[in-house]
Amino acid sequence: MVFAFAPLLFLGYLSVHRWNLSEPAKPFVGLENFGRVLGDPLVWIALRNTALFTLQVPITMAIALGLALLLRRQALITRIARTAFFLPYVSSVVAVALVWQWMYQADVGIINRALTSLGLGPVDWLGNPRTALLALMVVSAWTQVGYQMLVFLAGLQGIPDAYLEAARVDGANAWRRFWRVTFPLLKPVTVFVLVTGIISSFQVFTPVYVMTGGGPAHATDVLVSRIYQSAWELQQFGYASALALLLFAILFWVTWVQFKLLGRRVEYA
Amino acid sequence: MGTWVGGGVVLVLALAVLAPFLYMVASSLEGAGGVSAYAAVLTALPFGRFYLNAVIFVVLVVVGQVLTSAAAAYAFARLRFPGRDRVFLACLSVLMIPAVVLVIPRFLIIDALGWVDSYQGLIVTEIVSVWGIFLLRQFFLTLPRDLEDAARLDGAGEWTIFWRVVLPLSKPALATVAVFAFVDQWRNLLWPLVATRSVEMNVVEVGLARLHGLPGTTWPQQMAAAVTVLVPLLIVFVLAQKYFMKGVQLTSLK
Repeated sequence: MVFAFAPLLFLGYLSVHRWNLSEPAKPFVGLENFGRVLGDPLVWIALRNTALFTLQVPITMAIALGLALLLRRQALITRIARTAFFLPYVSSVVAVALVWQWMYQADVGIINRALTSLGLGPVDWLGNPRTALLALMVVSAWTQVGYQMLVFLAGLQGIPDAYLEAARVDGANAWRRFWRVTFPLLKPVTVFVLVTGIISSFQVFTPVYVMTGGGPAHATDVLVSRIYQSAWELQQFGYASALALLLFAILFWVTWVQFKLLGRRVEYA
Repeated sequence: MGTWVGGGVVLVLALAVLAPFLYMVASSLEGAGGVSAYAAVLTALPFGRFYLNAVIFVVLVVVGQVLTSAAAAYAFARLRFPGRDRVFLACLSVLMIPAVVLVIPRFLIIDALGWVDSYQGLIVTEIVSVWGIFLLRQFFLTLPRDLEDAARLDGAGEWTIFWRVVLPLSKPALATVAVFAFVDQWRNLLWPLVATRSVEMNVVEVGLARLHGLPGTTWPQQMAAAVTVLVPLLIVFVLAQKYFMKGVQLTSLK
C-alpha cells in the first residue's frame, strides 16, 4: 500500500512543481507542466505512435486465438509447440530486441539478405520512418503471441465439450460452431487479453530504447520513452510527472471500459 | 493423414518462432581474428560483475517477494481484522497503476535517501508484489481449514500454523510467485537503468543495453552477450515450466 499510494500522491505533488535535481529551488507552478505537456508537439507524436503501436494487440490476438485452436489437442507435438511459442514471452527483452535489430539491419541483416535473393528490397526497416514502428510492432507481436495463446487455451478448456457436440448434432459446421458457440463463450477471456494487451502496449519502452531510441525523426517515440527522456535526460521531473499522470489517466480509462464490458459478461457452466 | 499435415504445420510454425533464437546462437559463434565473441565481450565490459549484481538483486527480490506476499496473503485469507476485505480491494487496485508511473516518485525517494547506485535502492522498491499477494490469497482460500484447526487444537499459534502448516502445503503456489519474480526481475530494464549510475552497479540487462551502445562492438559480440543473459532464463523456464503455465492460467481466470 505504502509502496504504491504514497508514490502516487508524491507524483501528483511533483506534477505541479518545477523539479530539477541539480536546482535546490523547486517552485510551485500550478498547472504549468500540464499546459506544457498538452502544448508539446512531441507528446502528441508520442501519443499517436503509442496508439498506432497498440494496433498490434488485436492482430496478435487473432493469431494467438488461431494458434490456440490449432494446438488445442493434447499431444507431444502440441506441447512442444506451446513451449516454443511461450519462450519469447519469458526471454530477456533487451536480448530479443538486439537479435531483431541484427536481423533488421539494412545491409547485412538476414531479412534483407533473404529479400534480396528473392529480388526484393533491401528495406532499411529501422532506419526508415515509414517502417520503423511496424518493425517494432512485429517484435512485440512475436513476444506476446505465446502468452495470449496460453490464455486462450485456458479459456477454451473452460468450454464444455457438450455445447460443441450439441451444435455438431444440429448440423453446424466448424466455422459456425466457432462463431456461434466458441467465440461468444470466450468473450470474457478475449476482453481480458485485449485490455491487458493494451495496457502493456501503452507502456512499451525497452524495444524502443534499444532498437531505435525513438527515431528516426521521432517515428518510434512513445509515451514511456518521452517520460524517460524528460526525467532522466532533461532532468524535468515535474514535467515528466505530468506526462506520467496523463498515461495513467488513459490506462485508468481503458480499465474502466473493461469493467463496463465485463459487467455484462456471458456466464456459463 | 489430416493429423500428419497438422503436425507438420505445427512443427514448421514452432521452428519459425524459434528462428531468432537459433540465429542469435549461430551469430554468436562467429569469432573475429581467432578470438571468440564470448571472450571479446568479457574484455569489453565487466559482464562477470553484471552477473553478480543481477544474481544479488534477483535472489533478494525473489525471497523478499515470496515472504511478503505469503505473509500479506495469509493475513488477507485467514486473519480477522477490521476492514480486511476493503484493504485487500485497495491493494488490488494498485495492480492498475502502471509500473512506469511509479518509477519517477520511487526514484526521487531513493535519491532523497542517498540510495541511488546501491543495492538497497535497487531492491527496496521491488520486494512487494501485489500480484503475488493476490495469487497466494486465492490459493490459501482453497486450503482446507481442518488441518489448521487440528494444529490449533494441538496448541499451535498463528505463526506456527502459517510456517508449519500453510506454507508447506503451498509449495506450488510459492514456486509460481518465485519463478515469475525471477523472470520479471532478471529482465527488468527500466528500474535498474534509473536506479544505478556506475558501470559497477549495472545488472546484466542494463549491461547488455550498454554493450549495444558501446562504439566498436560487433554483432557477434552482442549476440554472445545476449545468449549469456538468456541462459539463466531458459534454465528456469525449462525446469519450472508447469509453474509458468499455472501462473498464466491463475491470473487470466480469476
